[in-house]
Amino acid sequence: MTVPQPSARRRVRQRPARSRAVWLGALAAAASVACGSRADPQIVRLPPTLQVTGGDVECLVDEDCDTGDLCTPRRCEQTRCVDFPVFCEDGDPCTEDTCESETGACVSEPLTIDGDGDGFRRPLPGFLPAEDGACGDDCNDTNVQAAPGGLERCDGVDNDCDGVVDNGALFSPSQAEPIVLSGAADQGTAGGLTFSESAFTYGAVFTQRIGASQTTFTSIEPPQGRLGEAIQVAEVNNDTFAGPIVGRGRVFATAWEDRRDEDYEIYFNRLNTSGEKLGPDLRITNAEGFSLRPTLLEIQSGRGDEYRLAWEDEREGGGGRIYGQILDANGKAVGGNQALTPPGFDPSAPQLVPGQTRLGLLFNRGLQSTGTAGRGLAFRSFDYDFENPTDVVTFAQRSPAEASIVANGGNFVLAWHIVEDGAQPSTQIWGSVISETGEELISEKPLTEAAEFARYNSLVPLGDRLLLLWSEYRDGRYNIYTRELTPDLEPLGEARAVTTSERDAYGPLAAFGPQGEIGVMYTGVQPTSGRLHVFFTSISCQSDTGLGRR
Amino acid sequence: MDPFEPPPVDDTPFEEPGCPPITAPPPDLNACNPLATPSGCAEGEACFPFVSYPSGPCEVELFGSVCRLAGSGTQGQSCANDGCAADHVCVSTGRGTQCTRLCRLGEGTQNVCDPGLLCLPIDIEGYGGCL
Repeated sequence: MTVPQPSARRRVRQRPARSRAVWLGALAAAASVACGSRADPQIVRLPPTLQVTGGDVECLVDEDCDTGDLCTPRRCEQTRCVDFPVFCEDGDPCTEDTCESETGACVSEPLTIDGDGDGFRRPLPGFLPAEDGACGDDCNDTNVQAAPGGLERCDGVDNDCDGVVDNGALFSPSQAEPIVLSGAADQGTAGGLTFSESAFTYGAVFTQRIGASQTTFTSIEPPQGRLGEAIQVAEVNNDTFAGPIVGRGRVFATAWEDRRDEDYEIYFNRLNTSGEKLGPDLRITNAEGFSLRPTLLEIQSGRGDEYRLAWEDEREGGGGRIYGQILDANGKAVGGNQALTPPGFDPSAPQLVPGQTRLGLLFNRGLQSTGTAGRGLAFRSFDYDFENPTDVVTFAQRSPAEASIVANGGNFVLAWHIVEDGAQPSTQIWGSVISETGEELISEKPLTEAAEFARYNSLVPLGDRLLLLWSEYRDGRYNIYTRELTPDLEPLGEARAVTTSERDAYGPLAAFGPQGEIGVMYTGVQPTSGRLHVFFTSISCQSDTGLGRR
Repeated sequence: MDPFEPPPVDDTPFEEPGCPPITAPPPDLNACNPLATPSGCAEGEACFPFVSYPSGPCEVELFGSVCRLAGSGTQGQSCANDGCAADHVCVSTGRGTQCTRLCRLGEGTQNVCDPGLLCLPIDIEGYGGCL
């Protein structure tokens, strides 16, 4: 694959012929010079007069046809104005060729950008890096450390674009004391976690209760874990509940549930890496019934980073549907809310995930329409603009809950736990692998050994492996554990404890940080106060197994 | 702008007017107490917490309790039949709307939830649901 090179500004291929008026003007200028000089007068022969025979005359000279647009010049041909449009095409499918009306010049702009300045362009949405027609081969255009031929290192990044993150590295839970993020509040629960490579801080959102439930942002500086200011995202007096946060550069974006409108609606905003908002809160939904559980993606378009948002929505009753919204790089809504699921599925808890060529949507669904009691997992995928959906595929029909989905090695990996009668979680975390269009490639299988109870999971895709985090009930309390899995969901090694809390610790949310560190945010009971709070700890990457150029 | 460069990132902060702080009134439990025995409701009725939503960004929720006929839905059962039984509340769980046992959040509280379930915050101040 050849990465398209910048194309220089080029001249038009076709120019309008010199007009008679210009020619006459030149003669007039010459005559003027002659008159102002002391030279002898010269006789100038004028062209013959145009013979006009009919009354329906549009033009006599080219100037009569002039529109001022040099991209659509017109000539006078037999008293008629005839268009001679400029056709701009440089033969490169990876450029957009346009004509400048002021100059008539052709301008070619690449369809994709080099967002991180590493000399490699990002592929077009829906294309694999370096694929024919992709117009770019950078597998991660937000990180200068990732490009074809790069040197693999322990940093949570696919440095050499071979599809594998931190090839061969070992991940070990930190032994450091977890940090409390919601310490100033009566109570806190985790929302979302990401990491800014430009600011070198984690960005965390969570719900903390100070008079009201408040969606709150804080930054976490690795490795010491120094916390930034806790900032209320929605500056309202009513309850708001934190959702996900995305973005790994200079801008974060988050979506949350907000009750300011006599109902639960979904709101969205962008933040700088200090947590300051970049615009007014954007109300995404405005409809009857609750809108809940937003799931948010930042995706690379050809020329910037855009957002895709989905949530469960009751506006049509009947169990509701999953709706979605496209937002541009500036956080502006593009079009309106779009229904992403057909009626009749009673869907809940959507999870959007970007695959290599399609967006995956996983959700929990009711099975009443199939004549079966209980609930199952369902999936469909779309192109990056929520178009061309697959049919809805249903699987895992054994009362799954709190499912997650990630893209790994060209497929999607799902994990969930099973709810028994009486709503208690079962003993293991389960998983399966599906294609980007929903075909089941690896049937459901347990990912953990049987414990008293197991629930809540988070998957970290590494390409050639996955890191699973989950909560397991041992000795009368939940703690968080991790293990590595093969792409076929076979265990690699034993489960290791991420937390060793004397009280419950559960609901891990993982995000890659610096030097291959994986930040883990979770909710737990603070042993000293007995209150629920939000905590942060990490898993470190050890590269002494030897990472190298691929 | 150079067409070969990525678009510039504007990360200038935006100042929002915000709201004057309001102290929300405490939950109105005059009618009954959802977690007390007896709850204060007439026979055949049960005490349920409720939330009254605000109508603007600077208003607050009002919380309270109300006596009404008890349904039959217990832990994990759908709310859609005849509603939830005493000591339970209807919650959107991520698996549809289900009756969930009420619990008390905070310091010194006993976990009344079945093993494996957690007393997690719901959107009614002071109460949790066994989830």
